[in-house]
Amino acid sequence: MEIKIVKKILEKNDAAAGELRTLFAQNNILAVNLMSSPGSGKTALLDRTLELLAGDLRCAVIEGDIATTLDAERLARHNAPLVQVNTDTFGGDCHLEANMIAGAVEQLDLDALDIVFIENVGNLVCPAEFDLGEDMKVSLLSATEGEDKPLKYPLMFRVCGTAIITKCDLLGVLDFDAAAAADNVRKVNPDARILQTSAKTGQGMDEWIALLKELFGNK
Amino acid sequence: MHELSVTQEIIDTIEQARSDAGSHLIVTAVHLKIGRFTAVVPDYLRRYYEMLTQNTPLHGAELHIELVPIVARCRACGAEFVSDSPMLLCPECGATRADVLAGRDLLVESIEVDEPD
Repeated sequence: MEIKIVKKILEKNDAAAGELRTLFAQNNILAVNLMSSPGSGKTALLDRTLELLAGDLRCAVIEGDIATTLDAERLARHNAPLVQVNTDTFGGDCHLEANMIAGAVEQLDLDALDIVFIENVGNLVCPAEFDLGEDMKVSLLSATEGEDKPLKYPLMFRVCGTAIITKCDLLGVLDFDAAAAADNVRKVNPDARILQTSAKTGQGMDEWIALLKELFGNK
Repeated sequence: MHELSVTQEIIDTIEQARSDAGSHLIVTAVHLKIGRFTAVVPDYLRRYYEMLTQNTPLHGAELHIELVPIVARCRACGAEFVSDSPMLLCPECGATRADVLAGRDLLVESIEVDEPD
């Protein structure tokens, strides 16, 4: 006997993400989901971002890692609430899911916040599939990874609103072709905003900060 | 490896449908639709399904996975086309801006259940 079901496999996650999106909207909070391979500079970008937004916008960070609180410790010097989500308690998941964010958000005072950054687990595949209720997904690609990554991991760059080429202070010493990398992002996502930054030198950070302020202003 | 959580969701869904139909029934087949523009690898689904359903009425069911092609609509000329690649290039006018109409699906379509031997 056949039983018809026709149900989205990620329905539970999508529903939880929808609730988060409503919660963020009600509290006038901009939620930004940062995704990339491990070591592409998500934490360095956040470190610089928190510094530059201090006094202007009130930020919190939800740190996703399989294990350790090392990233949270790197960001602890900022006056920003931090919630660590370790997915090893969820079976070592390679990505964050909406229910994990819902648990983390409960620990935040939403009235006292303007932006919630979600630093996803370092992984260029899995996080792309899971809606976290964010306003914008940001996919990072560091100059050391090679310009072909948007073509090799197309979903990650298709779903993002903004792609950031990081570690651009290294452009002079690498063979990496930033224009070709940007072109490869456009091949899978012609609508993506593409920024080039260096958290180390501050290059491109003004454009990134302006974008965050603009998106927050539009909330 | 997010296929592990995807597979668990599939199992929860079909277990619900199975027990609603009759708690003694066993599942003999599962029909899934997986879009080509997802990050889900069918072989991993099969492996995790086998692993996670050990000693349950779901174990041994045949997984039928229909891969849904990427279908897109060109923003320039409105042509709809099927693409093998996530680089969406309109075959009519050559434009590279297109909206994805299909290929992002992850669906449990149906299950087949039977009386146990």
